[in-house]
Amino acid sequence: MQNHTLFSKLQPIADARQMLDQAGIDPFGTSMQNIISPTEALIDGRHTILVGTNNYLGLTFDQEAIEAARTTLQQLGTGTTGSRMANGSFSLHRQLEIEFAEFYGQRDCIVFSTGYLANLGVISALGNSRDVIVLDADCHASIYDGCKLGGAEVIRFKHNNPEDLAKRMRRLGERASQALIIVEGLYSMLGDLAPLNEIAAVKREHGGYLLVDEAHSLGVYGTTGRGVAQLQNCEDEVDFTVGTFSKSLGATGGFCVSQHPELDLIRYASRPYIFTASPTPSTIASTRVTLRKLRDGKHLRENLFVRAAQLHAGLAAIGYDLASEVSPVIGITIKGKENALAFWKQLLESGAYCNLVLPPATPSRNPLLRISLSAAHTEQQIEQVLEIFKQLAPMLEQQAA
Amino acid sequence: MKNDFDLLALIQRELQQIKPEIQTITADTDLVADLSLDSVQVLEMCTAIEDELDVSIPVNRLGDVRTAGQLIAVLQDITST
Repeated sequence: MQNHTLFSKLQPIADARQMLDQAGIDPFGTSMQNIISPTEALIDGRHTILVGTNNYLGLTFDQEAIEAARTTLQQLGTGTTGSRMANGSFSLHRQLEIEFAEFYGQRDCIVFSTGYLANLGVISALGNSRDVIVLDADCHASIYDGCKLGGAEVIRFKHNNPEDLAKRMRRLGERASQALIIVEGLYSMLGDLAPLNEIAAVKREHGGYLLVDEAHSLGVYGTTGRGVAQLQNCEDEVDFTVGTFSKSLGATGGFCVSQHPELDLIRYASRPYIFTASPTPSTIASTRVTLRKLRDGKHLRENLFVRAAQLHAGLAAIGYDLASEVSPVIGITIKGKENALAFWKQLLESGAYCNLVLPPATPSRNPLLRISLSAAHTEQQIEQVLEIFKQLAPMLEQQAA
Repeated sequence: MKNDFDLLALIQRELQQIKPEIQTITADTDLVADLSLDSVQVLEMCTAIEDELDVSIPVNRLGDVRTAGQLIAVLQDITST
């Protein structure tokens, strides 16, 4: 242990960074010099089509939302300078909570400062070391971190596998009746949906509560955009729905809605709610507008899926290894970290930005190119992106050979 | 309840399913440093052991586990309650 320093934990990261520096690639430090539209930016001086920004409904430049934010900024200032629990609750924070509860047809809502904090704040406030959380193994880091903060026993079940969930619930015996099951609606890495009806059936048999994180599915699925539970017609089975403003709503913030009257008590038990400043008033103002547009945005969802289908079919036709069926998230598995880095760099230099995800952040041991679509994408933009992928395809064929 | 030797044998068997080149392990074998398992392989091994023993290993109990012996201690603790 004599060589151990405070920074030893960071050494593996330093090693990984060195490898990226040598290759002259920094996929985790892309800087957008200018945002031209919801689907275009200036990166390294190049006009780039964005296919990796989670801007599912393309509402970041909605003029009405911008106007509402601008007016509120003038009227209420740049920040709340305080926690929701102290001086940071303005009437419009509560107004947005009421609107979210109405939108979901639920009893109440809590608004948090980010989606990450919504998961952290709700999950950590439920249960203690005597209780059990049973979560899908591919759940987001915010869910794992919420579990850690709360101190309940944490058990994973195999991704999207209701039989494995049932097995784990059976093993819990009587404790299952108070267990919290956590899944996501749309999984953000591979773009696959949770089988919520089958998961709800396990809950009916063994007891417990169900929390669904609709971060990536809000605005995207369901007739009014409430998410995968609405799509699969099982919203009554969901005890807690968590989501974020930072994707389809085009801002930052998070929320939880529930029928349980105890939701209001979570405010007082939730450290991520109590000990952080509340969302800025302009953020709440724009989100109130985009929430309404999301609800009424059937045409946006239709366009989003037309573009998703166009890109999915085009990539499959070129021969790319796609991780799931058509959804607004398309994952392309690439073998080998070096291959993935080189390919991602070429994509960017050719004018297309998507996310590069490296293990262990990926569900498998392979790197993943993660594409996300937007309702604001045009047919022509998707054609351009497909043309870039077509030109670069030989890079991966050579590597496979 | 299985004894420590049974559990060590079980861990070795499941490890060999994932990585056939693994030979004999001892209680002191470091699962990550000595066997170069990645996080996916650790999860695969745990799932196989869980199914064999019909238990679930809580994620929060795995944080400090480095060696086969430490995993055996966790398994003994879970199966005894």
